[in-house]
Amino acid sequence: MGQKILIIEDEKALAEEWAKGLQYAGYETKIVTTLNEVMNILNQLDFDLVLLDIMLPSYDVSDRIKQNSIKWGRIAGLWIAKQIKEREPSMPIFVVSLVTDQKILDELKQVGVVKVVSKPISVKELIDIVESCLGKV
Amino acid sequence: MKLAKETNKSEDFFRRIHVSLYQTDQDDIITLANPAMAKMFGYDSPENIIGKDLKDFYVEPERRKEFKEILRQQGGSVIGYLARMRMNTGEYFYVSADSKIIKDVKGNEIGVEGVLRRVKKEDIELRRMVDDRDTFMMNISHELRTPMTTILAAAENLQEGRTTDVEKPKALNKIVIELQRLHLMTERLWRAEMIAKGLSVCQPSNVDIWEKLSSSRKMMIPLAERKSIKITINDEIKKWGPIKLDREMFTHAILNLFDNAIKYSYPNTYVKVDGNRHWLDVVLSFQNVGPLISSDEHDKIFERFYRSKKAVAMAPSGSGIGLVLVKDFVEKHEAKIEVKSVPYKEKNHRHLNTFSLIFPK
Repeated sequence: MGQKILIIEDEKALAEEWAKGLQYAGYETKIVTTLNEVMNILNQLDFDLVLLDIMLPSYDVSDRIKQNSIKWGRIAGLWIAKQIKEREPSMPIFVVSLVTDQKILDELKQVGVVKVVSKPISVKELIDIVESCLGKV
Repeated sequence: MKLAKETNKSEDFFRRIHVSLYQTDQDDIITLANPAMAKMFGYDSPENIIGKDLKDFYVEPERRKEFKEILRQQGGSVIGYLARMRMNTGEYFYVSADSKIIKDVKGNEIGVEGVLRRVKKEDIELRRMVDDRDTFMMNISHELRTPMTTILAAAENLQEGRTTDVEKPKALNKIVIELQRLHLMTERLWRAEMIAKGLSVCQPSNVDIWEKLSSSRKMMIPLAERKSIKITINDEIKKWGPIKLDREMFTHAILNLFDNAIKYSYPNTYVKVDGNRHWLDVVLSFQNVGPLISSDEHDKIFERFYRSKKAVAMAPSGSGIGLVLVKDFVEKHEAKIEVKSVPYKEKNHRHLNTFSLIFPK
């Protein structure tokens, strides 16, 4: 059984391609595409690494969360990273993001995100980074 | 003795400095002001302004609440917030505020303090243009990079033999859809630029509305399917026959109305296009189930680069120029666009949003 990667990415078409590449490299994958799905999975974090897009839409969550995500604007993923780290402090999180705001990048670092890269990224690069985050290289 | 001397020096500096310094309590009542601050608002001395509500000096008092919200969101301090203020004579002027939240030892907010500088209206307009441009560049960069990443991943998986024969048609279809998305975006950008330069020209010809709606729907189906959204068009429109319109402008107007309706729809809902013919005009309406579009946003959403916070939360990608193309179509055809947002089936956060294009037959 390969190590398990959780892919949090709202663009399903893209997440499927990343999953395909990672599976080919020997990993098991699970894709979640909405904030609601993320909320449902937070208490069963049976994964070895989380690959996270920090810009997630928030159309499918409760009003309370929605109010917060309106405040977060594009960075609902920062909240997700914090939630994951609170539950599983040792879980490596690898962020694929388009955010260039240094304040957000610093916060991601503070939360304990191990790597932040910008789109576009090739599948080969993605696999290399996953391996490096898991200490394989 | 030395401390008293230093305090006197500080007070003297506070009185002499030309920039306006202020402090308010948490209810926005001015608790401290220097002479420059009093003068800025038309008062002879700080005593005359202390005790007044700072909100009352805003041309739009609700902006004070918004300002404090921004202060909190940005970790307690803001530099260069622009606001329109008014003097005690009623005269308007613009200020740039550098402010921070004051907290007590327990960390509770007890007020705000900062510096106000008078700025020229032209400087504000220039700054807004620069801010708009920055926001736009960030938005467009996100909107272009995501389909590019998908194309790159799908093509690389095909090239490296990671895609099975069974999966190949789906992978190729993904590439085609994402290329169409990129094509739409670049076309939208080019047209928005033409509009901004005043080079958008209307060349009416006979347009089959049904045919244009059907082909646009076909183009949008893959995007809609990703959120399990069904698109329907009222069959009655088939009977309309041709109408004189600028073909390109009309096509881009409806493509953007479809695109927005899908982008801002809740999953598993629908987009419905309806049509009504009247004596002199026709009404084409695009309806979807999305977040509330409040009435104060009904005009703003047609402004270049404008995206509400709700829109960003619902769909992080977006350039804020799609509706500019719709507005251009409306202006060039002596048409109208109406926006309605009403609660949907007791689900308080869901609204039935309708964009109605009304144009002459």
